[in-house]
Amino acid sequence: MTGLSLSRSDPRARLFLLVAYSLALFLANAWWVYLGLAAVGVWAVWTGRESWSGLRKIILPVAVLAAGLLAFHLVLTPGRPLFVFAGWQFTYPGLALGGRVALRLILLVMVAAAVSGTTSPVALSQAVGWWLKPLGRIGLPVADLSLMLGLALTFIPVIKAEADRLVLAQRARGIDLQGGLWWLQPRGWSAMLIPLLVGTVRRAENLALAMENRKFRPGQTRTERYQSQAGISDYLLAGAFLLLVVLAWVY
Amino acid sequence: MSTRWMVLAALFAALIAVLAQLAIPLPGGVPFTMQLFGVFLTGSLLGGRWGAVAMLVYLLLGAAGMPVFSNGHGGLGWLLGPTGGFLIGFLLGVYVQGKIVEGALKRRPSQPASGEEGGAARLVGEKIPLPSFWRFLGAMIPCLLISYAVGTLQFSLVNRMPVPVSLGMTVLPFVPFDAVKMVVAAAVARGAWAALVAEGLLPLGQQARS
Repeated sequence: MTGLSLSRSDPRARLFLLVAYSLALFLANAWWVYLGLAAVGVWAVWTGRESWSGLRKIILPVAVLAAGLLAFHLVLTPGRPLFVFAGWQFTYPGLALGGRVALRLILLVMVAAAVSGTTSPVALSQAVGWWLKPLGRIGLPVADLSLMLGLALTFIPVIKAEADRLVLAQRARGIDLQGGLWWLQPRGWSAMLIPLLVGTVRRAENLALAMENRKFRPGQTRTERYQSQAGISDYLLAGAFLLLVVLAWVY
Repeated sequence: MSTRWMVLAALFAALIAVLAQLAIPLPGGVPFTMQLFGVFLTGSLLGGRWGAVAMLVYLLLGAAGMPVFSNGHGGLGWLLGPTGGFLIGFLLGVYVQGKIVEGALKRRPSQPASGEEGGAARLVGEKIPLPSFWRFLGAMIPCLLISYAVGTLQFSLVNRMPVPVSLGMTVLPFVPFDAVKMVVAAAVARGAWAALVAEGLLPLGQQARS
């Protein structure tokens, strides 16, 4: 079974797994389906080579919300009492419902982190474009949309670099953006936003010009430099996850 | 579709993604992310149609699993999860917001910019309207309200909770912070609009819709 690993699967298949897993989590009702989903979640993190320390950073903030939801359902769901503490009655149905809601939240975050950690931005935007293709028949400009996805992904580091440059420039003029009174900080940030917007929009303008000069026109289908191949293991994985959705739907 | 608008929509989607990762820690551990800033600026500067496209690109990136939502979250599950409704609501919210901002352009297309308002427009010597601060602020309110409505509804459905409880858990504690963000965002939007138009960088300000 070494072939069935998240990090070696086709990006398109991986995207399908994420969608199917999310659906299954929302449809699931029986406790053993939840157990299976939890096992699959651990598999995804394990074979996705996601580090547990990185995972903890993502899960901890969510765990607070999950604990709140669990407590809410524990106290407020009527049913057979589990135990009574300081006048509050904790019930069995409350534990079952709250446990499911909390587990679902944590599993969702875990698997999403495993998928995004194993997929490069380019592969991801191509995979999304591939899955959106059928929507092109009803008039959605899929080629343009997937191009915009790719452009947005390449803009993220550009914006970060521009922001770093601005912070350095401000600091050289004696403005400290990090320190100071906390209620004055938004003012410092907003003073950065306008030059950041102007700088990045100018870059976007140059990019649009460069694209048009290279004969780019909206609405064209583009070819891809790197094309991934789906193998048998990808179909196996997709089938297994589809089965999971069906199980969650039926039970 | 024009190349220029497409690139701009992609840029603003990326901008929301970057701003969502910027968290200013407030005393008491309240997360103050700048995501809302990005959303408001998108609607203010791109207008209804292209603002909504930028939002759609942002949501698609997140749905595909990129960690673009606040605090590094991503994935379709997060969008369908407890707090995802607030993001989905922005899709319609930004459209409405952008349409209201565009309304300022349509109402007086040929009227010359007045003295106080036309500071930036005077630089290029053209008649370019600059929407007022109140127009920007007023446009943001329905955007936020739509997001609240969709978000609360989804929170209730996903967690099987009554609507008033989820309203108290997810909306009411954040209203004062969102109000502050809104005022600052309106001021930034107006300043950015003037600066961008002065450099000829804002298609909306030039009435070059295609």
